[in-house]
Amino acid sequence: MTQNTVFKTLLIALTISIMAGHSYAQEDTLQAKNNSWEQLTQEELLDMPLEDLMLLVKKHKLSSLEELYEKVLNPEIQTASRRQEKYFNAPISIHVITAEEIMNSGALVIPEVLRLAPGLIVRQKTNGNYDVHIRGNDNIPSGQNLFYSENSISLVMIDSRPVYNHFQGGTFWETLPISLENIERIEIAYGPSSTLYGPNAVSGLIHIITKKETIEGWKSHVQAQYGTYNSQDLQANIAFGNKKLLTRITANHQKQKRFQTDYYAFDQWMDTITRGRYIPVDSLSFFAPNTQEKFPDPSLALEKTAANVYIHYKQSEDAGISFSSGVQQSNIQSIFLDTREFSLTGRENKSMYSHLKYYYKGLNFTTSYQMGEQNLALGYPSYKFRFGDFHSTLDYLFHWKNIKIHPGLNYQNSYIDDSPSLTDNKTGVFNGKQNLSNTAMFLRLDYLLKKKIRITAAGRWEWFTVPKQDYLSYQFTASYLIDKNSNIRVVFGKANRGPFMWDYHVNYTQSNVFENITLQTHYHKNPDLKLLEMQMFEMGYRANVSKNISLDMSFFYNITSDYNLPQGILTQTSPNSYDLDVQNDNLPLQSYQMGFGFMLETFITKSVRAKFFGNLQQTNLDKVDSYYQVNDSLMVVVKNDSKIHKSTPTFVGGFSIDYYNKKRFNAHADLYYISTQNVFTYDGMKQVNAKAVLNMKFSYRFWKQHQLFLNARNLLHNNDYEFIFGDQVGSEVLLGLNFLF
Amino acid sequence: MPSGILYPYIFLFLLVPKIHKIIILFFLLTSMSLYGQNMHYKSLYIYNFAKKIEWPSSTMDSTFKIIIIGDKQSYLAMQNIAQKKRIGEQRIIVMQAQDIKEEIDVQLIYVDYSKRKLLEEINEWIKNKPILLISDYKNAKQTDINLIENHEGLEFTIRSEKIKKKGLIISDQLLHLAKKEN
Repeated sequence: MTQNTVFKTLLIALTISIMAGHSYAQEDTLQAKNNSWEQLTQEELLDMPLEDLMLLVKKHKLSSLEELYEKVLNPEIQTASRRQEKYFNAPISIHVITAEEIMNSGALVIPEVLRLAPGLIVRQKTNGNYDVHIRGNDNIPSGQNLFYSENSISLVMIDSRPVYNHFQGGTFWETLPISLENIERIEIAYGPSSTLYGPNAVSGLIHIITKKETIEGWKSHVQAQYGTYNSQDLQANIAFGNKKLLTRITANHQKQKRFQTDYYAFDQWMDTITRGRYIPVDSLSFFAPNTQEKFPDPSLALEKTAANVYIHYKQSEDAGISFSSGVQQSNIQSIFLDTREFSLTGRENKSMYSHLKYYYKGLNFTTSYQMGEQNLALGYPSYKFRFGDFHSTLDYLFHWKNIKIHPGLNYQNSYIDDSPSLTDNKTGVFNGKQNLSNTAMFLRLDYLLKKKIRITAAGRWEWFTVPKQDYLSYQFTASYLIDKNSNIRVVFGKANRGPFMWDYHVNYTQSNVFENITLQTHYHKNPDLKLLEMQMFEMGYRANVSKNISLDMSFFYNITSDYNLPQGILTQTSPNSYDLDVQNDNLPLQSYQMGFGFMLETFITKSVRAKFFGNLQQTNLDKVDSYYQVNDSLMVVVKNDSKIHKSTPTFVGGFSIDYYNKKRFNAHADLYYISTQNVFTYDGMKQVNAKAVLNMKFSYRFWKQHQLFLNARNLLHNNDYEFIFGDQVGSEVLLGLNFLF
Repeated sequence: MPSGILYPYIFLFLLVPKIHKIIILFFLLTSMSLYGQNMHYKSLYIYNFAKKIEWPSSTMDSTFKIIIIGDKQSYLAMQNIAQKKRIGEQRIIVMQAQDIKEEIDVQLIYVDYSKRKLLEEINEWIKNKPILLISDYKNAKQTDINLIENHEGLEFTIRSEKIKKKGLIISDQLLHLAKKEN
């Protein structure tokens, strides 16, 4: 499918929806009686003349409809201010994916759901394993190995608990212990958002909020689906509640097979683009040692099992305590560590967490601890670690005149320990237990002037153990309510990435033999490495075009600096031996990104909901030449004449349409389009083709609340790979059952 | 080469090769009107119909009997009204049934959407007996009154000639409020 075709399709569908939405909204004029349905007793309804009753039903149905529009198009959010507020009032760019959308979408894993949000670049590496970027800045600096393609500048949280991997940044999505069924909504905040949540929320943050609805008595839900490629998904929860207490226990298991069993093998002389190729699984041992241990199940893409418990005690309307805890075990094959043998590596992870939250009026205290074991590259020594992450935040919101004042303190500590897997000669990456910690204080002021102008100013001062430098992140916003249905906003912010274990604690020696040449590579830490920073300016417009259409547009410009790159000094120690001393150093490189994002959400009729979204951007790199000078004796140097950075796709967008009738039948379709990506890696320049992915799900309530559903993924049957050196992407069909008791 | 590549084609949608067609098909599918039901509204309407229609005096006794053919929710909503109200001097008795197979003394039968397939059989059983047949299946041809739920509220159509043949008398006000059939 060409780019033009997709644009045309989007445009036609968009036009139809707006027109249909408008005409539908215009029907909502009614001169009904003053009484509302809720105000009348059944006796009064029974005594009412039929004529009046008909008018009242009509009015009630319309007001129910308005409630539905309000609930869906203007939901409650909490990420923008760390407190509940309406989406329409949020002073920054934000998008919400609701539980209903998640379940309707048929997405199998959390990253796949993110394809329903604007500005999210989501590429499948292997079945069920994804790379997720917010607005882009992918693969900078270019020309490195795949290890650096991971997005390390977006923060992911579950109920305000960061689930960030401190080894080298990013999120191991498969280790998130929750299933899609547990999610109440996902809020995506765009741009630097560190002030309230800590480092790494540089390009934005993805906040997953789990279900906590009040229930009376017992409620349970079981979902099971099975499909082609032996895809299995089982999610279950049981909850018990009364007015004061809610207890929920959840469990999930998921297994997905790869769409192929062969492996992409790099060429040892780093000319992989022309010389790399897919190797059948029975020939792997000819290309690398120990392949049985590296790839124990070549067909496996993802397998994960997890269980959680959540308890919430509501002491009063404005006080309560909640506790959650969970365990998970996962095993995937995906692209992460660049071993220079095969593009895929196996990754195993076992972890548990506990999270406590207490709130009393404006006071909020949250603390969490996660610990576990991970093996980041099965079959390769040195990548097996124990790890732990501790986070604690205390914040207090109070009012003084028209100003909301919100100070807070935060402490984070992470460790990684490879000592249990060290051999006598210490060949580990860290050779012991290493820590990273930071302490921060923040203050946010939120001022409302004459109910029209809202100004917020937030700053966060952060002290790190390494690097020994303080960092200030900030966010200033101003929004103006044009009328009750539209507002404009400007945002200016800065955020920095946190330190990584690899950059600040690596102490590793690796030996490679290339034909008759031996290379000893020594990786050294660099405690003076500066943290990457982004500054962003954004202007936005948000409007309820009519009661059933909402629109959000944003224009953004950001500058990112203090990228880093491993730089090495090569020394010849004997005729056939070399030593390479490598440490990460900052680069003068800066990226400048300018873009435009939009989201239009509408109820075409009360049962048909549609979303259209897109993000258009261009990223330019400045001072790029400097880093091509390093390692010229060993590395493949590719001249990059253009300073336009092409690793971030120019356009990413799509639409979703839901038909939902609460009684029997639901249907969903979504299309996600991502334009061409040119990836400049260690191995040269490679193009990932533009691609559209269409998914559909149909469900039918056959008895009471129980549903049967059919879930079809990648219906356009475009099996192009989406991530450089990744697996092809197949089409899948799953059949499932949903039981609600 | 992925092994399960042909599986999706077992479904009709995949026979449509172009994305445009798939989208159009989806729109068509989603525009099919299904039948929302809210028995709370509907039971109030049924009660009003019973009040505004006269049954032949020969069929009148101390009770007004209603049979609900449908789910429990429909029955409970009507039963709730029966406990509070009368039709004239008659006490309302509500019964739930899965079908009608034997002679039974009843004035009104309500068949909800889920049991719409029984409408023909029930209508055949009623013939010209003085029994009012109501359904919320808007396309029903066999009923006396159809309830139609849409975004305009809850409307209804009346087949007055059919009702008259049964010896029932409809009030002018009810006829006036009814939606005219196209």
